[in-house]
Amino acid sequence: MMNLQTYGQIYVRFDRHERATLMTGLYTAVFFAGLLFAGLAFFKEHTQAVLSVFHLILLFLYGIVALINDGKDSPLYRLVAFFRNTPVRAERIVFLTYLRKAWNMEQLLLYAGLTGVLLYHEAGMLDIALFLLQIQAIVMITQVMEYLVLLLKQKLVFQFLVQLLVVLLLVIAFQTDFFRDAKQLIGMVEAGFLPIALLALAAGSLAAAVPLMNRLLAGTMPNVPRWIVFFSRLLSLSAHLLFFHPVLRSTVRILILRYLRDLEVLIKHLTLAVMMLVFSTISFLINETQGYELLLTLTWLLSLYFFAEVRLKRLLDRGSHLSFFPLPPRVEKIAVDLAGGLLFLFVCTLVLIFQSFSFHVPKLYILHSLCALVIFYLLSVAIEIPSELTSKRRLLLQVAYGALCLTVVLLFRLVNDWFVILACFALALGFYARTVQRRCN
Amino acid sequence: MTTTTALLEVDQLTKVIQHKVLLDQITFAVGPGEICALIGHNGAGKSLLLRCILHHETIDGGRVTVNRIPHTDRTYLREATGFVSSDHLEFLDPLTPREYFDFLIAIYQVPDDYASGLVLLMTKQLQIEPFMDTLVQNLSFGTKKKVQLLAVLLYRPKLLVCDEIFEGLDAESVEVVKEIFRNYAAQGNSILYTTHLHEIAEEISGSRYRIATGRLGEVVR
Repeated sequence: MMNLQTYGQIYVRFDRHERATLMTGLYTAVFFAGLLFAGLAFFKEHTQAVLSVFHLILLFLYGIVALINDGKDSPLYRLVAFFRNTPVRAERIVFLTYLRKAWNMEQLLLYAGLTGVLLYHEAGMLDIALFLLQIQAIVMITQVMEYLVLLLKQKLVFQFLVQLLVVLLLVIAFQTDFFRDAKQLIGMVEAGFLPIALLALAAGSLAAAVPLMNRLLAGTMPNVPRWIVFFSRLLSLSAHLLFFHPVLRSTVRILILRYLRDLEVLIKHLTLAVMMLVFSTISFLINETQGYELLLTLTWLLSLYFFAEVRLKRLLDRGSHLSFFPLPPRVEKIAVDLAGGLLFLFVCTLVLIFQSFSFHVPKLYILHSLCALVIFYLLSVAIEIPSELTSKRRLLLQVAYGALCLTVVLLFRLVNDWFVILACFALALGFYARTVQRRCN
Repeated sequence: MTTTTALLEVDQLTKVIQHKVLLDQITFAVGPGEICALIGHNGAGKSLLLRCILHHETIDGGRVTVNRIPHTDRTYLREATGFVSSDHLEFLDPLTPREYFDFLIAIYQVPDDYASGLVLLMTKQLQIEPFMDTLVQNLSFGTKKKVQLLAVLLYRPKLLVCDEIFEGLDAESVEVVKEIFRNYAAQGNSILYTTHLHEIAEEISGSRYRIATGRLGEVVR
């Protein structure tokens, strides 16, 4: 039977995050202990509320980690794929995963820090135990959440519907002033509602964990749905309309087909669309304007996401496999960039059109935003991404790209004129042409 | 052991991975119209040798030329060679055979009449006609190989390279592929393929090389 040590070796192999150093563990512990200390020191009258809000923050952060699960690239997917071919039972995998998540070095340091803070504030042993028990509940809830997310990712339609549901709920919540009635929320927190809710949710998660893991172990990653095959064919026709060079046209067309049928690429673009919808919906509802700045900021954020998640990960270059064919490097690079650009702009245009109808945004603003997106995209593909990227270099590239695009945003904002737009476009195109030229030499 | 008229010349090819010599000074040649078999056990280095020849892997020593042009000239190499291998399906997996063929016809600029005639004939012969609009990733192991073979034949490379092509094929398809090999070589093209099946190698190949522990030992001509 597999023991914790063997499982630990396998877990560390698949979960890069697990290789956290003692230093990062200490930082985390100090950060959260400091947060709790500050909360308890500032709101002495509302101890229960501070503890509950602290748990909510933890739940939110752990939840985010579970929700941004990267599909095929996620440690969980790789773990499940590994265990699928072993006789290890689902119960054991769930139990050992929980032990590794809740009782690793980082967590132990966190528990020690938090216990220290609570002892300083003269909390009773029973209260401390209950406090730590709720953290265990959060770990279990988010662990099951991760299983659920991976399971949903195997059904593309579900994933799309879930993301759409999030947007709709947000819109409804804002329209009905749900979040503005904060007093009621604080009242619920102070009444000790949260510990009960957390423990009940954890019990439910515990019951669901094994069946979910069994489903994961039995399943495979999804086949490409028929409607995606059809839709990719439809969108790939755009290559026929836009490009006249036969080799370039066919290469762009085949890349669009391949990208749209690659679930990883598709999910990134889907997330991009949902993010854009969420951000813009919230912004428009809060500001109740058709702000030009808002749209520009939105396009800037989207481009940053695209650059970090698609360009820096070389998602499109890696997936092209064009080196199998007798294509000159110039055609190879241009084809990948054109196909990626068409996809990116298609998604963004759809969302912008949707927002234009929903919030009566002037058409000219939409057009300006599209121009900004084209310029940001050109800049993103003009920056050469090395095949081996250190985290420091990645950060540097992100900052440089962000600053470059921000300059364009400021120029657009300060001198709202077509001449500026054309000049920025020409500069970005020149920058891109230089990169292509350099690659060919 | 190279010949001046050879289409493919491999001279002292050496490949080292993690300080281990996996291919040790491999030298051989394949002439025009020749069918050449590489025979060897699992892990002998047959597939690695093919990948090195086609420059999908870098080499640590020696020289490879196709039509006297170094294999580092990638554009020429991809025009002059075609590769059928189950390890090389990443590109076509999410495509249907029809989409893949259309792409190849466009980038190799194959004349439409010739291409459509060949596709019609070969899809029947290789029994892949019913799967023309199915994603390759959903096809069986053998059918994937047949799709790859037809795709390569569309642009008629001078050198056809196949890795374990007979593995996973039914008896009828094995006969069809053998016939295709013979006809293709008769037109002056060369074929280099790996196999475990000695009988087939003996039946259709003009030259056979045995590869063992990275060395091209025994030569059976």
